[in-house]
Parts: sequence; structure tokens; C-alpha cells
Amino acid sequence: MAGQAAAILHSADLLPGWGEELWNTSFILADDSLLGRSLHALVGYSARPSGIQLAAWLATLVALVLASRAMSKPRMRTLTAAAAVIALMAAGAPARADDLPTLVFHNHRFEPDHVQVPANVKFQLHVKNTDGTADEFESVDLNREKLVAPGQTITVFLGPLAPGQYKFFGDFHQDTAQGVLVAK
Amino acid sequence: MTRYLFGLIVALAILAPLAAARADFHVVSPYEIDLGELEIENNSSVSVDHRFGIGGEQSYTLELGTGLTPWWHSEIELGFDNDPSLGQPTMLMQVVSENMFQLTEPGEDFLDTGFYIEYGQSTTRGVYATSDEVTFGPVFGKDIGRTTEMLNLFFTRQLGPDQTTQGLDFTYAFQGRWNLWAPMSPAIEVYGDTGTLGSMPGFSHQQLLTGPVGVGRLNLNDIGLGRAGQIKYEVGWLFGATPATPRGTLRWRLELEIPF
Repeated sequence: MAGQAAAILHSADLLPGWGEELWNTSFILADDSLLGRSLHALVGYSARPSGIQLAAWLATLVALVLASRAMSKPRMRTLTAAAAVIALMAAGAPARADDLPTLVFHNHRFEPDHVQVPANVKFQLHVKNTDGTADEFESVDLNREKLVAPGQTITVFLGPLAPGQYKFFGDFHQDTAQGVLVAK
Repeated sequence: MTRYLFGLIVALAILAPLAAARADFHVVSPYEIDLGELEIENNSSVSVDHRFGIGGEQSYTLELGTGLTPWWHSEIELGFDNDPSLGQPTMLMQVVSENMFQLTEPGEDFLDTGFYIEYGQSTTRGVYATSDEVTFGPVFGKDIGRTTEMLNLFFTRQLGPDQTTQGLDFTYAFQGRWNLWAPMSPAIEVYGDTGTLGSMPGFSHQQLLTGPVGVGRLNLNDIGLGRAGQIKYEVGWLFGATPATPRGTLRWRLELEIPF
């Protein structure tokens, strides 16, 4: 919980990041795998913790250990176990994909037309249509097509994507509405 | 541009009667709703086998579809068949209402899920009479890397005075596609029909087909036919995997999508 709180505060630029990705254990246990999702739900597992998350994890652990010394042995054992659980939860914040810019249909073009997204994690892309006519966010590479009515903002659920480029376009204005998603 | 689009629509109509095999050779996708678009489609197949009564069947459809809501895709289909072993000429066999309901937002959950239901009203009488039918079942999809996997598990119940079975017939269909290149991506498909649940024949008497399929699409803008819309196509050769299945089946699908 401490790690998640730190990640949220970092997302709001209220805390420094101290490293966006200290390690990546996706190749051992990916966040989106069945076991990864289960562990995330149970103990907050994350394959790509940030520096501020680790700091929150350590600070919580130290605080718990110090507090436990003032208690009796049976209680100490209980608190140590609790600290271990909380430490695991501290590493459990989702990858920071919520900083992605909103894609905007404007004058039948995408703004921005290049978007960098994190590779190997799931994320949400928001697409807003400021034009007076409907358009469709579509991508063969991403296997998505979704209508965006005038004034509407939709959410497209994507990933995990392997590093690379993924083209998308506005199906109703293909001559102008083109863009690329870059997964890194 | 209007002239070219009209030409494409006419081409779809002309291609339809040339088609062969069962019209059911198409894996229903939980991803395509086509809200704000009109879809004109021809889905055809022809089976090839020298054994009398097994090969030579042709079927084709002409379909009009669109998204009625962000989660409901609906089509009206005219289904034609030609079965030389019965001496049956090409004739309109069914008018079908097809509906796919998207139950989950694509990509949000582990598995993308939809529910499909169609009702086919028979248009034949007399010697070529067929029953009305209702077909329903779940539709699943999953993106894995640059591949897309789709699975249909359908049940069919015959209705009306011309039914030949009373139970539920179970069919399954699978497509695994590598989203390699928009104009042509390789895929593999599997279609099976186990027969009526509860009185299923042995595996060798069931229908099972599998084979390679090419799946592609062209933006009309890219080929100078307009600023919007697409042509989608699929063509494949399915091998019969049981003695009861035709040795080979050519299937194709051509679809024109036009925003409105």
C-alpha cells in the first residue's frame, strides 16, 4: 500500500520518481500473466517497480521492524510477517502508463500523432474527438477499432506490447488521420 | 468515387453466385462492431471431393450489417446453396438475422468475450425444404503479442415442421492470426461439427476441417477509392481431417465497409 501510494503521488508529480524502472522481472513473471495478476491482487506484486516505490517499501519495513522491537516476541513474529506482506505490496503499484497523453482527433488529424507507451505492460489510451463529425480509432497492428462520436472521449485498452511501432489511423479520414504508437 | 464503390458492390453481387462450400466458414469476431459503418459482405465456400454425396456443395451469402450500439453488431443475410448430389440448383435457402453482442471491452480483461445468436428462416418448400434454425453461443478472443486468437462455440437447434433432428448440434471454430501486414496476414483456421449432443457419432463421422487462410484489408484511401472505408478479405483452403469431411474446401470472404 505504501508503494502504491508513493507511485500515485509520483504520478501527480508530488514525489520524485528516483528511477522509473529499477528492474524488470517480466520475463520471469509478467504482470499480465495469470499468476502475476493473482499475486498482484493478493500481495501487490509488480514486475517493474520504480525507485520511489522501493524507497517506500524500505521505509515501511524499517519502521515496522523498529516498532516490533518494543513488543514481545510472539507479537514481533506477527509483525515481521505483516511487514513482509506489506513489503511485497509496496512493490505492487501498476506500471506508470497513466501519464500517457490523450489522443485528440482535431481537424481530422491525431494530436499528437506519435505516442510513446511502455512495453510489456497493459495500459489505457484515451481518445477524444473535438471534430464536428464522428471518426473511428482503428489499428490493424493493435487489433482495435472503435467509433468516437463528436465531443466523446473513449478508452482503448491495450498491451502488453512488445517493443516496436504500431500504426493507427482514423478510419473515416484515412488521408489525414494517421499516427504511430511506439512501445519502449 | 461513387462509381468505383458502385462497381465494388456489383462485383460482390456477381461473385456471390460463383461461390462454393458452406456459408458457415467464418469465425465470428468479438472485436468488430462496425458502429457508424455499413458492411456489405459475401461469404462463400465450395467443397471438392470425388466421392459422391460428399464434395461439390457450394454455398454463398450476401449480407448487410452495421453496429446498432457500441456493443451490438447485427446483420441480415441471404444464404444460397447448391448441392449437386441432391440435384439441387443454386437457390435461396435461408434469410438469417445475425447478432453479436460484445460482453467485454476488448483488452480490458484476460479474455475478450461476446455472445452470438442468429435465427435462420427457411425459404424453401417441398423436396428441398430445410428447417428454420437458431444458433447461439459464446465468442472468445485474445491478443497475444502480434497474434489474435478467436474461438466460437456454437449450438444449433432446428425449428419448425421440417426439422431432421430434435437436439442441439455443436460446432466450433477457431482462427489464429498473425497480424503481420494489413493487406495480407497469415492465419490458420479450424472448423468442427460434432453432430447432435447426446447422440454424437464417432470422431471419424464428424466434420473437421483445418487449413491456412490469408486475411487482409485495404483502406479505400490507399487505393484511391475514397477517404474512408475499407475492403476486407479472407481466402483459404481447408483440408478435411476426417473421412466424413470433403477432402478440400475453398472458402473466401469479401467485405466492403463504408462509413455513413
